[in-house]
Amino acid sequence: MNSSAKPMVFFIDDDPLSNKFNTMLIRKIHPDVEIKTFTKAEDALNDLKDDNNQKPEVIFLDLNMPVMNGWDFMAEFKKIGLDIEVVVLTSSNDSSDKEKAEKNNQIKDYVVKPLTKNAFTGVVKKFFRSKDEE
Amino acid sequence: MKSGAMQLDKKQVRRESSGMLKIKTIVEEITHAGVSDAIEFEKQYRLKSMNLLCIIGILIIAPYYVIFSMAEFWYPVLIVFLFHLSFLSVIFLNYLKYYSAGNYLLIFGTNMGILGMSYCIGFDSGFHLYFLTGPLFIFWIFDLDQKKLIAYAIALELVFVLLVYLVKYNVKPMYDWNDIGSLDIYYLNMSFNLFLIFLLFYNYTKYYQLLTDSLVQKQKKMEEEVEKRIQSESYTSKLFKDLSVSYKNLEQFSYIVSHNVRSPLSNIKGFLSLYEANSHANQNDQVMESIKESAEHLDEIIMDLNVLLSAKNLLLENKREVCLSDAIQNVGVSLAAEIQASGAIIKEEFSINLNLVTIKTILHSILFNLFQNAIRHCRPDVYPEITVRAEKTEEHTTLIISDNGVGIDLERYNDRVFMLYHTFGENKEGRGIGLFLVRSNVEMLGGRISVESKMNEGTKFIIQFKN
Repeated sequence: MNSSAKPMVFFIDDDPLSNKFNTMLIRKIHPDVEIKTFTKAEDALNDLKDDNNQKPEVIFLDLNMPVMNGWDFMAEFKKIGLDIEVVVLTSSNDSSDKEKAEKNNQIKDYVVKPLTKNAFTGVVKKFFRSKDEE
Repeated sequence: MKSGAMQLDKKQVRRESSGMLKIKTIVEEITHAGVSDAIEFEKQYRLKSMNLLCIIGILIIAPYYVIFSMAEFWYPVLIVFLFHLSFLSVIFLNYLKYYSAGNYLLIFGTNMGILGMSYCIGFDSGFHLYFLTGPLFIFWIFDLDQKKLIAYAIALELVFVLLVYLVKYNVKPMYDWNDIGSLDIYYLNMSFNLFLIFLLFYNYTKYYQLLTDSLVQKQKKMEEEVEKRIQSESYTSKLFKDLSVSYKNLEQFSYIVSHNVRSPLSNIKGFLSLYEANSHANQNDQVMESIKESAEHLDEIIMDLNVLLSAKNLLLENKREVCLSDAIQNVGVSLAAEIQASGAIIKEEFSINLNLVTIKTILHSILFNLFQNAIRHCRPDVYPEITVRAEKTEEHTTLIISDNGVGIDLERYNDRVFMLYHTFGENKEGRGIGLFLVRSNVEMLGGRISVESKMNEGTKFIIQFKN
């Protein structure tokens, strides 16, 4: 992998407005972070499967999506076997969703929309720093 | 107090009634000796007829006073008196509720009488004929469960039979019954005995008739009770069903709020955090534009919610008979534009006069949404074809609505087909409301809906209503 490449995050959300907001927020607080947004989880999967593409450091995943929802994505994502952090970013404050997310050990965090500066830096700080230390 | 007053009234009525009725009421009073509601019906009736038989016994025996007095047979007169005494004592013992003592006294008294008569005027007088009725009485006056008491009574009876035969062969009678004159005591006794046997059979017959009547009445009461319980149970289960439907709706509502209402709201919140009051206009314009879009999205969702919630009010309409064919025709009118544009055909495969007892508006909504879905999710290479089949059995009415559209991948979306805001195709027209509304409507009518589908062949919705 190209070590000089900028760190990258994925946003998977069927709501384009939500993706737009997230992009605008990250651009503002971390201008050097690469951002890719997907309105369909399948597209994100295909992107991850392609070895030529740069892998993201973290994936922000919405749960409530048509066709392939967040849980479907997690099941497929597990099969690929990539070591990438997944953070659930959803408008649902439903406790059953939270519990389900906690049980899934590939999901590192559960963030209720909207994403804030504090939440983003809190989530990404650890591995961005560890990346730097390498 | 109240019962005392009622008894007074009864007595007054009795005083006013005629002579015959007076005798009847006196007899009734006597036969009720020892009878109370506390004892079971069977025993009550047995006691009453036992008392009545004692009265009849007294009446039957009474002429012998005259007969024996005229012949100057004084010992037999005494025996007749003892007969009377034992009959009266039996009634009295019953009155005192010494039922078993009364039973034994009846057996003992009558047998002693027979023995005495045989001793005084000889075996040929025919008093021994009463042994024929004795065993019948035993089975009548005792409860069949009192096997021990019955055994003792039969033993007692046998002892007396033995004694009477001993007397017959060993004792010369005190009086010659030919002295009575032209009266044949043997035939008199035989007639009385036959009369008693007939009376006994009449009693048995009447007893079983009354027993049957009371059983029938009891059964009727029980059936009414059961009916009542079933009604209250079905009411409770209906209430429970309504409640669980309401609960489900509430759950769905809370799901909508937590997932769908919050979504544009969180966007608005997010974009507001990006708005910078004193900054250059370029980004703020974008933020404002996005906020406006989110607000519109929110408005749309709240409108949907409104539609879903107001659908519940349709339940206030009354159920009535609706011709399925007419209902389909009406939906066809509502969807005329889409049907024409797509070239869709609606086939009806059921008997022309099939009726449903249902709420018309809800049925319309169900058919409308299913037809619309079928037209919207048609395959591009074929004209949409919707087939409605219906079947009515005694218990259920089943509607099967099938199309030749793209189908739903049920293996994948099985649990999400009827959920709100879940769409399955690439088709952007659907917003995931129709099938949710259909299921909610079917459940409102107390029905069930299930789905079968094959990709690129079509989808089949099966709706079952209870009649």
